[in-house]
Amino acid sequence: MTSLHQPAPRYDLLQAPLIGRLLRWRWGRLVGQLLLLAVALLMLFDGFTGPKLAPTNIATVVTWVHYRGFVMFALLLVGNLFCMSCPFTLPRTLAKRLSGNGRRWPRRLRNKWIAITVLLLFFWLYEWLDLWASPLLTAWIILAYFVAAFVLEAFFAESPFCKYVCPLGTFNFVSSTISPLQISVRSQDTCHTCVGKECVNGSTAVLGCGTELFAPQIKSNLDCTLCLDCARACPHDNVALAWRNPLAEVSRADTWPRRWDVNLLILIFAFTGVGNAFGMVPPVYQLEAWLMGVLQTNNEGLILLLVFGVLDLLLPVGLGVVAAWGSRKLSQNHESLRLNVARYAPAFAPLAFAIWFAHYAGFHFLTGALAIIPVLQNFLLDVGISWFGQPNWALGPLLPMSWIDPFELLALLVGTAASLHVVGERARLVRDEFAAQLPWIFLLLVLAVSALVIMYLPMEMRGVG
Amino acid sequence: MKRVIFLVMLLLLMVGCRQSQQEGEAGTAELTIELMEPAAPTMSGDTEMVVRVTDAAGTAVDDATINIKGDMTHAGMMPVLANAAGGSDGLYAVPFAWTMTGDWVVTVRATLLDGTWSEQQFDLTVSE
Repeated sequence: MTSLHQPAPRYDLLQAPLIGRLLRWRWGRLVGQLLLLAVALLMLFDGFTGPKLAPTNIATVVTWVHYRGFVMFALLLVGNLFCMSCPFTLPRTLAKRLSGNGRRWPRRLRNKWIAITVLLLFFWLYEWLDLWASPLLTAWIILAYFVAAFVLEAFFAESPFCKYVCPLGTFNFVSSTISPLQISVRSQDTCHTCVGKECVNGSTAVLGCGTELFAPQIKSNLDCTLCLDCARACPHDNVALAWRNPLAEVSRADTWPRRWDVNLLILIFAFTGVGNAFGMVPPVYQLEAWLMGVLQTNNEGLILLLVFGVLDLLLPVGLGVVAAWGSRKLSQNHESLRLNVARYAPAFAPLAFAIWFAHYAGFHFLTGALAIIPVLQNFLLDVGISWFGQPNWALGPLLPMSWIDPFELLALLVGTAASLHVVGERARLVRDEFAAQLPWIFLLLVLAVSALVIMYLPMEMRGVG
Repeated sequence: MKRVIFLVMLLLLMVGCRQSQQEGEAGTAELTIELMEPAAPTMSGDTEMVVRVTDAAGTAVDDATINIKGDMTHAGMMPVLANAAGGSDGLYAVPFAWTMTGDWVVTVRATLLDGTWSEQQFDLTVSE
């Protein structure tokens, strides 16, 4: 057999003492899932029956402060840990067993277009229904996730909910393209001679990869839920969870070279980061009021559809295409727009992540993480348990408030620098001249400055009535 | 099936046990709390809230302790807390510093000397 000549990963978390064994343990994932299932049930209970004020309800505090904050830190420091322990996939597993695997997901839908649509729909609903301000709606969303995962898995194989629909998964997949851990294999030769390919096919005891990724060919974290079923199924103990340069994936020349869907998803992910922050500052309300006047309507849903349709969809797609057109013109290159977009769009992943990180981890989590303590005290008092005393509502920030702005600034600067570096790397690999990079660099800088300006605007929250 | 019925019963029991679900349990003082000022709060200058407390007969209550908690609508945002004691003609002036513009939910609790209390929520929009 011919060796594929890929070096074994130098740092494999699955070989680390204790943590490696825990990760490879057959029930390792289930323990994490059950833990998060317990949290989800508590959120559902409080969301449906508890206080209607968002800052005092477990459903809203955990969803809009802690989930988002923990996810961002996990993606930055480790990888897609939420999908690894996702509680929504527990009923999914049950559905899979009940339905006997189901039909194949239609070939035409095996792309990210539905995921993009659902993600945009989610962000629009978030703004229109003020989801952050409603424990009840937050609880309904959690319930909807369970139902959607169950139904889709009951009818189709290939975990279509995770791979093609789930907006949380889409968010985490794109972010994890710059995470420091990735599934790999210790020896390509072992995979070459492997007959059963259990990592993807599964064995009698363990399911194979839910999203049907083949471990020795994985070059990207996109679509990897980090479930580690591949590692558990491999009879040769050949699967690794390897440390890598976080920019390696988005710097490679062959990252999604022909896929409009994935590359536009990255651009959309970056612009929605700015759009989502824009939804929390005073100018958005002035813009809404102006549009209502111009269009002679009080339909807020329609106005928000217009505002965020432009910000989250029209601008990333339009400006991406314009940048690609400019790049071709300046370099007098006659390649297709799709190739040009595919060359430079992945470079937006670090900046996109930085924008979301500054917002969710830098602002909401660091300023409100300790708020869960009085919320839990209040919950316990409400169900008749007074052991933990009266809630101290003054608890909230993890860091002094004066540190938050510099923290956000640092995140944005690092993200911008990383993206600019990736633009250069990707251009260098195909010997693209500097002129070809210019429109993309300009777009990156415009996005970074927009994010910075918005982060430094005073915040204004709406959401009552 | 029995397990499902058991779980549903347990859930209903937990819901029933919640203090907030039991009408008449939350506070026992029959007080009327009105927010007199500000009607349209702004961020500028020193601000204060004026609340008026009266009993069931409409008589002004001056010996209550007033606790005010201002919450933003987003979870995790630090609430603003303020207290006052001793009113005049049922009016209590409470210094209150808004931390940002937007929608606020202000919860005013009036506690009497015997420990009984009453609570009222007000929705306010703070502008520049």
